[in-house]
Amino acid sequence: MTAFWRKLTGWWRRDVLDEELQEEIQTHLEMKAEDLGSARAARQAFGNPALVLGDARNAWRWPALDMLQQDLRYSFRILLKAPGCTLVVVLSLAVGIGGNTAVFSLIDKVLLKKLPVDDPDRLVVLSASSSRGNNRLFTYSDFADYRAHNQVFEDLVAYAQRALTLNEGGQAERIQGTIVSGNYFAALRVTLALGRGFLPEEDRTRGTHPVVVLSDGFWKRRFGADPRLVGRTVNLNGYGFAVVGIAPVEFTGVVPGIAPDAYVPVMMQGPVTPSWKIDPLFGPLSRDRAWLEVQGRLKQDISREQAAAAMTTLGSQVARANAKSDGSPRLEPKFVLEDGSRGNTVLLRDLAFPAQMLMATVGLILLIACANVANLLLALAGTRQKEIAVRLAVGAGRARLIRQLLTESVLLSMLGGAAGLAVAASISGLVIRYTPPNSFMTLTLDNRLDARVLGFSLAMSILTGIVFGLAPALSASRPDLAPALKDEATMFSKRIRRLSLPNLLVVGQVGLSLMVLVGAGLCVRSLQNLQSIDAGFDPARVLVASADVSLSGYENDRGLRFYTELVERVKRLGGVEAVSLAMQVPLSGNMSSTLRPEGYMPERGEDLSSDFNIIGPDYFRTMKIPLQQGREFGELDTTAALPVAVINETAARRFWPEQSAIGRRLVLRLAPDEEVREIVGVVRDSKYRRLSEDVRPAVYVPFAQDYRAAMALHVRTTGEPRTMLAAVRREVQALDATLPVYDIKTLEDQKRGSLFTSRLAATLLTVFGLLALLLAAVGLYGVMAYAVNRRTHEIGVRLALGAQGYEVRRLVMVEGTTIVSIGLALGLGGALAGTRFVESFLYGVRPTDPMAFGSAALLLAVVALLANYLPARHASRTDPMMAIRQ
Amino acid sequence: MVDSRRMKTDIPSGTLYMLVLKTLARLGPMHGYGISLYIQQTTGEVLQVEEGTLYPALQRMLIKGWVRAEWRTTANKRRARYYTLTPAGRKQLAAEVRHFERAITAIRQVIEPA
Repeated sequence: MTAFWRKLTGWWRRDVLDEELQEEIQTHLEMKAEDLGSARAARQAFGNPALVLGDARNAWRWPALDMLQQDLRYSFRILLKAPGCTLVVVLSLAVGIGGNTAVFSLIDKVLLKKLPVDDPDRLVVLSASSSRGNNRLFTYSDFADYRAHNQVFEDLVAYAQRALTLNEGGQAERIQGTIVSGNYFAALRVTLALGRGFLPEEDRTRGTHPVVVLSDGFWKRRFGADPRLVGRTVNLNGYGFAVVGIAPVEFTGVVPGIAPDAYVPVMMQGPVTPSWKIDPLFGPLSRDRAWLEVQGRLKQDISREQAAAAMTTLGSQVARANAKSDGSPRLEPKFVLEDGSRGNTVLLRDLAFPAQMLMATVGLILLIACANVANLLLALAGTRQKEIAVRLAVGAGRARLIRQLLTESVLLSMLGGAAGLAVAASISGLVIRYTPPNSFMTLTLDNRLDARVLGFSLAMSILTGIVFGLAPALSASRPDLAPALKDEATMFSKRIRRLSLPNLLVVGQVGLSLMVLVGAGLCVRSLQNLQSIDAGFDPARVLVASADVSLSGYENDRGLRFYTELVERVKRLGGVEAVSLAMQVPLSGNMSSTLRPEGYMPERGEDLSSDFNIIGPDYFRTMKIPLQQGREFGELDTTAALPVAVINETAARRFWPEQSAIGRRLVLRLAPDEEVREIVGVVRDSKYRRLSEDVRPAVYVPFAQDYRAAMALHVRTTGEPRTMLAAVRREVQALDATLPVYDIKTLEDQKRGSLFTSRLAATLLTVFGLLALLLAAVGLYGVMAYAVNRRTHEIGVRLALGAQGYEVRRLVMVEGTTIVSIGLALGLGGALAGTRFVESFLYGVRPTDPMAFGSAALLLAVVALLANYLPARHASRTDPMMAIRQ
Repeated sequence: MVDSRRMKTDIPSGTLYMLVLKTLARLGPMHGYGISLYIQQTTGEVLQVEEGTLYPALQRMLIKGWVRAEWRTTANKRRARYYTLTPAGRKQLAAEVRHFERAITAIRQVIEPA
């Protein structure tokens, strides 16, 4: 070990060392000359001083390092001498590795990442299945009992997502809050970045300890990461909450996709949900109101099945011990425990399949890229046959040679890997910018590529280098020197040549590219179809802004007056064509109601659920949805008047096909909330939840008769909708300065945003498809060019013997065309087999859509033919004289 | 009369270190020329150290810590690098001598007439 340090010191002092050695040798020679009487004799006896100096110097070096340095320098020279080849390999790897890294990184962040807590694998999500279905919500009293009396959990936590109004610095802002049980941070084992979590006394009595923990993101965004914030008070829903802690940057709650801004203890439920008139914690209805989600940390050595069984037993006991106030028994829940190491992933289920598809696609691209690399490395090694043979002949060790060739390919791959990281970063950035800001979940994506992904790419690049560099290195260094030295063309066995590795690789590339291109074509067609759907309303120039008066503690009357007055005021603004209110914004709706139309006999099992919206007067005029019969809601449709409703034509046609629906009655909702309404209007169908949906019956009821605290203002403007935003805000502020306005968008945005996933899929697949095509074309070109290169002698002979240019071209093209045709055939087969899996994602396009297949194949064929033609043309232009001499 | 120059023998391989270490053990601090001279004279000119090979060997011994070096002035007012045996060097010398003696005994057993 000390030898190592000495060598290191020696390297540091190498110049001085050199001088000392020279002086030492010089002195020796002088002394010897004195003794022998002749300087020449001294020198003879000594040996060659330069050699001696060299040997002495070498004593201080590390031979392995020297060899590596030599190999690297040589490799760089070789790579620079073939810049085209180097560039293509690096780009291919950059695309392949970069694509994989970006996609993996994205998917990992959204789907795979475990919660950033201690030991996440023992976390579970609780749900109860009963005769009424699967239920994730629990009452507070049940939760408290489960927590106190179970034997299988270390601890249980409960939480509920609730929006909050923050009033700081005169600005009202709507933020994402989570009500949590007091043991939330402790049980999940989250270490707070600043301050502390909640204390036991803050979890005991209702309303006594107004404290809040803020998230790191919110703290940075809204308070500029002010370290003195802990200890200060912030105004939430009009109450002062003391900030006691800041969550760590990597913790974003237990529901992936939703990042809470603030965590409030459950004892402060009162101020957080001011519209609830009951006490859901300790009041008489505390066992009826299920509003909390529950997760737990299992004890060691307890399995999920054991825990589920134990909880079911406990659940039954609790249910039986607490019969309802009228004596009827409570449902006994059967517990289902799901893996909670990634939190409550119910929102992300939809993304699982597209994510897998994406990974498959980039995996294919990587394969294509690696095939290119392999081909090019083979070709490169092939062109150096002579050089390698010479080196072997003059005594280079085979192992040394292989090591040098491997260094080359690994170097190339690492360059590719580095470029790949750059590509990955830019792809990540692209996807982030694409994410719509108003989707129902605020995807918390950031551009960080984490260390695992980095390691993965590095490993992939080195592996590619070794794997695809080894075969060429081994075959090129085979000690069969004579033919290589004599430059003999070993080309005359035609049949074997066709099946050569490079050709097979290109066949594979062509096939895979076709599959990706077909996928892209299908997605693009699907997107086009979606974009041309008539939404049923006119989305141009409509501004939407939402408000929620429940958080400010408004009573129903006050809220009704507020909204009515707001509509009046906005109507009077310049630049406004029409204004209305609605509970749901189109293309985001998910409220439905069960209808019982008067006089309609439903068939067995017929689904009577319909879309449902609560709207203000003038809604249909604002949305430009044509009224087909009857009238819109007006001022007179209040709670004092007859309960009315408007339905869409699908409902009218379905339930009253022979007659006019006007004047008919229908019953909404189930007992005991039933209400009977009279139909006063029929409107044209419009899309409610998604553009691609089949239209269901829809029913609209007037806002004045069914008050909701959170409503969305719809403003049709004469000019650019966003320019009206400031004016609308002012009107809201004039009525209530502490009320935030949120979810601001235009209907055009909404329509575009609803197509986000389709657009993303189409874009990504097209990009990847074109990349795959490029790679395959380059691969084909490379292989053909190399083949032509090898056959230069043969071609020269043919030309000299009188062959025409076109005959030579045909010679080359035949081979290329065969490869491409086989590839296309295989690709078509693969695509036909594979597209079946994506059927559910396509709209209006069959998975065997001939246009998609046809255009993909055509594009591929044209590009491939071009890639084939260029070397062919080059071959036909060979100077026969030069060629024969080669 | 045998020409001692023609009968010159190379140093048996692997023994250079041992000879140099022993020389230093006997002479104390000495420069490279002095070491080679001593070996030549003590073996009656039988063993010729190719003087060049001495210096790389000395550097290696320096790296391995068997000797240490310092610059001094000779009697003739020249600057020369003097090498001294270190304790580690002494240990190495003993080991090499043991190893060498064992080898020689084994070889003798083969060569000696039965």
